[in-house]
Amino acid sequence: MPEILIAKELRKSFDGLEIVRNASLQLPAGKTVALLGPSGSGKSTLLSLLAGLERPTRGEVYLDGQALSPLSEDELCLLRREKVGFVFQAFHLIPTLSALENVAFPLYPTGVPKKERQQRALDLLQKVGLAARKDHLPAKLSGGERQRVAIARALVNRPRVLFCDEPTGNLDSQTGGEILDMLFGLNLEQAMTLLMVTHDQELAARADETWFVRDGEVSK
Amino acid sequence: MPQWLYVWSELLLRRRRTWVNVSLIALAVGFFLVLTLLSGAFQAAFRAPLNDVGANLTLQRAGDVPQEMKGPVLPCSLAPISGNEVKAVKRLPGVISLSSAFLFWDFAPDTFRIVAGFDPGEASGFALLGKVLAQGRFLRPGDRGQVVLEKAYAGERGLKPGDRLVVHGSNFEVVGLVDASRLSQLATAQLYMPLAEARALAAATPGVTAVHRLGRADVNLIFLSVVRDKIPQVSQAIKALLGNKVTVTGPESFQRAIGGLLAATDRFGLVAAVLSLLAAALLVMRTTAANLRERKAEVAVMKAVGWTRSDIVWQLSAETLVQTLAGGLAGMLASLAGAWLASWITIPIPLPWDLSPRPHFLPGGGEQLFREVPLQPVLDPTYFALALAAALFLGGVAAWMAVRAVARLKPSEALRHA
Repeated sequence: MPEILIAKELRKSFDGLEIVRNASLQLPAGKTVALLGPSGSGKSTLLSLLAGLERPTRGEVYLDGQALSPLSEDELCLLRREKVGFVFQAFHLIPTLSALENVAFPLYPTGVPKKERQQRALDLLQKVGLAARKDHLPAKLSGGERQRVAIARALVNRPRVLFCDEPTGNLDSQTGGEILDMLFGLNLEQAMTLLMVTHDQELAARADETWFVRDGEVSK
Repeated sequence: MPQWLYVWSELLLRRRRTWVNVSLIALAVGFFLVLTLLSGAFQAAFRAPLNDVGANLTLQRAGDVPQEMKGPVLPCSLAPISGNEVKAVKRLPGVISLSSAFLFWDFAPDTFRIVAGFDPGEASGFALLGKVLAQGRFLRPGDRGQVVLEKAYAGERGLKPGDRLVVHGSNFEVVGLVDASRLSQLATAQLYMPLAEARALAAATPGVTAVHRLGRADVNLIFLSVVRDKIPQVSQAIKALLGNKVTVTGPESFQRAIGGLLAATDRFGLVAAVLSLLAAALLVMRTTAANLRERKAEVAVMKAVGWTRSDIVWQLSAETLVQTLAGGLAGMLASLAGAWLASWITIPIPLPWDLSPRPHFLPGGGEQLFREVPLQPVLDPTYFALALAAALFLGGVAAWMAVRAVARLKPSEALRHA
């Protein structure tokens, strides 16, 4: 199985403090990986580096064969638009847009016709069981519903890799379980690669691989 | 291209922020326009007294005080100006037209009156009194032995067209009455007659000849129409030509006379307008900065899900543009309302004594005369174009801030701390 994500001797420092130390990783396409580690260990920074949201101090990341460091900010945005989806712990939905428009949000600048992007967004809302609430603003949705909208948004551009930063961190255990079922279901259905930062051992147990981050160093 | 659905939802659902931005821009634009319109209205008001007599400058020369207040005498502010001097003034660059008059006081045994002689064929000065004819007819070129009376003076003495009147031994027929109060209180008289006859009457009078050597073509009051932006140069040239005793009255003379707050408002109107714009720019920058802080995570999400910098800047600029245009439009409407309200205001413009000389020792002679001028703000499209440019400038300030903030924002940091 080809590698969708490769990191080579990745380092990241902030103000002289090394947060990620010499991380070298390979993630085969279609796999699920849980990134475990204590708070402040560098998990989220590593996720940002792998997704091209942050530039490494040293080393290189290859996403679907493409080296990230030569790319400009805008080229990185375009790469993420095509190949990456994000699910955040705090959902980060646009508060002034409806659930449907939030899902369609990544497609706004892509030139996909309005009708098509709305249909795609509606299909995804149906998939996450929220079609009936398509016109609701995020403030009118529960935490679990917001996260489901966020997952639908992450899928609307049909990404190769889904990066999830503690996707169940703000949810109760039952809702968290439902969200995980949905994410692992997507992995099975669409062979979508999942990389999830988590503290949750249960989630880690369901992943194909578990990577541990401690003091910026990554081990399997 | 911006996503208009997103623009509208941002503006409508974040009402407080939109309201603050639109109000600030409206306030700045409205204030700028009202001050500019008022400044223009004041300038027009200062021109009004002279406009009434078809001129924008008057010219007089100060002379000696009459030795005795008996028969015709020349007021000390109206010494003769020779025919050659008049010709020289007429030739000055910037002078469009000139009309001259001869005005004197007549202390008759039973009355006092001001007599003005002028050429009825002129395009300015006393010739314009024909517009406010109350009864009979106005003087015509070539008239001799005919006079027109001020309506109030005629009323006091029971005179009417067709009656006869003796002025210093000469017999005149009253042909008409005029109501000068409807036009201007500037350089008014009670009795108006042809220029040559007024000059001849004065020249034959010891009260005048004892003080002045009067030539055949002399006058003592000149009305000038001058190219507006050459008024200062023409004034200077006249002073150089006729000496220090000459008095040139222009719009700025009324502006100086009015003094106080109104003149200050006019003088500092532009400065205040510019300061208001700068203050609004600072406030817009402040609210934009707050807005960007509030939306940091949102912009970070935009970047994370694939919006490029230009996509985001377009989006934020479109929001700013809509607010700017709405604020600009509201400011313009407010200024129109302000202009309408201002048109109800009348300002009293003090007339210099020199221009309406009356003996101080007579009842009311020392009183300050005023010309009541309604403010008439002119809705010049240039001002509105300037206001729109000002609104766009404010919008530009906000957009520039957005561009800088978007360029600096690191999505990973913004999302981590959100």
